[in-house]
Amino acid sequence: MTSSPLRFQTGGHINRDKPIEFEFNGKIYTGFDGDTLASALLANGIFLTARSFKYHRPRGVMGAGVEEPSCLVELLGVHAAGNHAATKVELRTGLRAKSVNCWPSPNFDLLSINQFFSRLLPAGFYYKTFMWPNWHLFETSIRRAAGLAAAPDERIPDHRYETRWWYGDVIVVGAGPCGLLAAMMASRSGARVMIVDDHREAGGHLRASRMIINGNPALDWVAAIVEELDANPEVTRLQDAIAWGYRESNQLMITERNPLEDHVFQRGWKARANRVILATGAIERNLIFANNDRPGVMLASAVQRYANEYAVMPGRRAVIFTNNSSAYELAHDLRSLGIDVAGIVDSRPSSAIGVEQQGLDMPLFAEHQVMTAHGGKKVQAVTIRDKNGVTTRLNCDLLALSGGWNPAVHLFSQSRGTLAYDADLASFVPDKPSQQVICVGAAAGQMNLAFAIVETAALTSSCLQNQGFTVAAVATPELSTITDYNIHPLWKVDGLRPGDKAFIDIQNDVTLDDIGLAMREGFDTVEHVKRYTTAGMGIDQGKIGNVNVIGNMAEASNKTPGEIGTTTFRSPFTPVDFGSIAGQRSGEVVLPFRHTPITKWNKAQGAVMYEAGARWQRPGYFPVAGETMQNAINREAEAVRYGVGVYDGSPLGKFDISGRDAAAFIDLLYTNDFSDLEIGMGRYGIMLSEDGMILDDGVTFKLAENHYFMSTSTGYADLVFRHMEYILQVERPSWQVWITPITSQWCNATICGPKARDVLVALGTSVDISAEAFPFMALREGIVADMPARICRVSFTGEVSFEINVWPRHAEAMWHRIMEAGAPLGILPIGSETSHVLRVEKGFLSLGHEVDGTVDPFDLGMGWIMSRTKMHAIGRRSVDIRRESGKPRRELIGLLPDSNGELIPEGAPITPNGDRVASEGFVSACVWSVVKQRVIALGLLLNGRARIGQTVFIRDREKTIKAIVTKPCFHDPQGHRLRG
Amino acid sequence: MLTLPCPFCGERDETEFVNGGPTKPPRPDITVTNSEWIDWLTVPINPIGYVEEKWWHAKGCGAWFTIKRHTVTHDIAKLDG
Ligand SMILES: [Zn+2]
Repeated sequence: MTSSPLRFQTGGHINRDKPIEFEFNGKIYTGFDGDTLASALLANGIFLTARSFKYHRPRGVMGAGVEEPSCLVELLGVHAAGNHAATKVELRTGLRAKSVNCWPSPNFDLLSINQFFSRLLPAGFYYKTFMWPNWHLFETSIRRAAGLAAAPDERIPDHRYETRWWYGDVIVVGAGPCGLLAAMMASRSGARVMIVDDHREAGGHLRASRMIINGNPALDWVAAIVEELDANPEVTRLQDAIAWGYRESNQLMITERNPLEDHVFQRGWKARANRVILATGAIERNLIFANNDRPGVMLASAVQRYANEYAVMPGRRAVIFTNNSSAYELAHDLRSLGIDVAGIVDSRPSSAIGVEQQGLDMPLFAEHQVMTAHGGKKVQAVTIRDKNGVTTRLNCDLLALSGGWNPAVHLFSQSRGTLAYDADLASFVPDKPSQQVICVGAAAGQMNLAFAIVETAALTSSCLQNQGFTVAAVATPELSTITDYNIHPLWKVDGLRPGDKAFIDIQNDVTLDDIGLAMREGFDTVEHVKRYTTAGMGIDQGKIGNVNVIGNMAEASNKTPGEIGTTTFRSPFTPVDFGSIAGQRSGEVVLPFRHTPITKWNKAQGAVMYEAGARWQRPGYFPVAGETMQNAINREAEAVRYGVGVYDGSPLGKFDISGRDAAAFIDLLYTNDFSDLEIGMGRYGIMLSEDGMILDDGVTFKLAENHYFMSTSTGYADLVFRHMEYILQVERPSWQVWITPITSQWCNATICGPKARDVLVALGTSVDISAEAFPFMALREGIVADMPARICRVSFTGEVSFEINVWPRHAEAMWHRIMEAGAPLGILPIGSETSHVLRVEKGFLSLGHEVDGTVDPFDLGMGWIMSRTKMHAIGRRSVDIRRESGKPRRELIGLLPDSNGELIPEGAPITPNGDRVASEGFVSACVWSVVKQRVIALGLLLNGRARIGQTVFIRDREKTIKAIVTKPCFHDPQGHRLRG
Repeated sequence: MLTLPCPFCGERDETEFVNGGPTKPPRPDITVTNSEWIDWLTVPINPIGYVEEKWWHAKGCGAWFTIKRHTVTHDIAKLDG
């Protein structure tokens, strides 16, 4: 293969024996194993890689790591993901990527016309322009124009995510020199250690430099420590893993991008340690001058990394622009590599420039600044200016910037530690921690590596000793040349003119002018400026630009940056895939479905299965071939009304309540009286929450003195359990009551309809099932079809019903026996759709329909359930107080809609005269009634009971439907049938 | 993500628990005035600092228990006494 034009023949830490083909914006290129997408693109001479967010200006790669602001890509195919920095995408076989923000390509971007209208897109433009009449009218087109990458459309079948938990003594974040040293000391002390690093290999800045440690290349020193760490089974070392969130109780959220195991696409870690050591280093910031966003303008540290780690030189003639001495390391490296440097432009006076310049054989422009970069899709030259305003033009195709370094305080800030402004560093450093965390090295503001290593050793040592570990002294590594940092802050260059495109936040396309405009319009705190201009928001979270915003705000308002303060750093530190947060918990695994023993039979019968509350899978209806849903429901409903049907009621919530104070407990829970309930009988009750709203309803049977069998609605059983436990443990801790959830211990088949008793006779039972011996609301225990059973005479359908409760292991057998015994009587299985029709015909309430958390029993016409003597029952006082106000309430009513047989959607509003005004009620349920042979509905209506017989108007989108208000019961209002 | 000290199970991850809000004074009896009742029902304490609150170990032993949690730092302190 031919070598890339910008790749050195030797050097770097790439594997030249392993070329990798990849696709970018539809074209095929070649890079090497060890490349990132960004380094491979640069090696191929691809500088224009993106278009900017708002103005669609041409952009190229600017950084070399997580700080990359402009080259965001969307990964395609089997790696599909949105908004990844090209600098953090490892080159791998089959990689396909495209630029975000440009269509059809970055070279020919139709929306780039925005850059010529930039005066029309100032800060706050969206807020000012798209408020009226409704942001949503504009949202779609704006998102298309300004949006970042789209989320992948489909689940990628090979993307398997997993989550691991980890607990230990110390987590070190960052495997640069300080992080490695801290991890090594922790490892030697016997601690359980995790070290997390976002790069593919350990070493941090050492991988990007040509530093010598103890007389050998720095990476030899790194390799020895890595080998030692890997040999210790108590050490977990994660590479290419980003710690992106710092949670309470010292928990770090980590995404491992490329786990070793083939079957895991990404792995999320939730790691928690007694101590966290942040060795996250520092992020270089850019400098603010005109056109500082052109492709070919890069951070000095990034150029150094491309040259040394990837053996890529992203230009042939460089200019270095700096306000501190760190960029001179790059100058020395470029000199060693034989790269032409047109000059070092240093904004500091020559008196401030020290040993760092020694041995450099290149022009040095002290007390000069870059005014502007020239060139459109690539830098061609820069104009520099001295303190007297004399300008010079330097031709170059690469401009390397260093505006200073910001300690990477993001995780520390997320941990709720405070930050302080350090004037010597011209940046913010960690101040007071709020959790068990220490910062070391550049992350703590120590920019001199020699000092940083000594301090790291001391801090780590005391951190370990505080936990009781014994720490042996470590030899301090001997470093080659270290120059002092010596920054002279330069928040913007002198002589900028209004309208100059001097970007302060490259990713969000925020210019210095935008910051000025926001401040002139009165936004004088940094949080407001952030929101108004969007500087520091989004994926970037202000990695490069944030401190420049603060510095410029300080200059403009004659304050110090410390007085301006920082915005809140939020997680994630870098974009992470949702999949790596969710791990295995996707689809049905998030909340597994609950099944009864009849599920298999239901499916075999062709039932359409639904979730029916609390993740229970239930049959909705049982269509026969060619039958519509409505026909199936009608057929099932008619079976119950005129013959017999059976449904699987196993999901019904069930509790066994016993103990010395069980009766008093039931009395406190329900609003109606249970004290006169006889053994073997049950009673319907309503449970309120303390604010006087209905929490649940159900039937409770008395099995013995202080022993009850309570049923609750399916969807609310878990909530009721919590409510009951709270009352017992918190409000009545001295009571002796045991609550045992037995929902899954008793399955039930409910046989209902006029021929229900005949089915029970055919099954054979030891219980006398005559209406006299076994009345409505009674419970009997005995044998049914040779199986032990607990039969309850309740009715949710309005017909005679026998709820046959059996043990789960008998449920399937009982079901088959019922279907056999009922066959000659025409028994049909019925689904939850039919149950719904039957209960609406009877006006039985349903939680989630008529009961929506805003109604009390009086609203439902059930004032009789509010005992006159039980003022202490839960929720009672609140109901009384509310009703004392005499304000009109929405009340349960029936509705006979004039809808030509069409069903009305649940929730449709009832409005005065059908006008488009505030509603006076709504339709809570609407079905085709088999007994009325018409559409019927239930609803809640303001003063509804006083309006029976009147006509109201229901709105269904643009239609208005008349309906007559009736009592909320359409079938057997006296209840003769269900008692039969 | 907090770790919470269940009195029976020890330190466990927050995901196992359900928050029950700040501890209320004991439920008043029926002799209190309406406004006293409404205050009890609707006025929660909401300090900057330590708040005594209820948690339910829903995915554990089922205990309702009380802790003190700092609303800013999330530090969890022992109850007095
Ligand atoms: Zn517990």
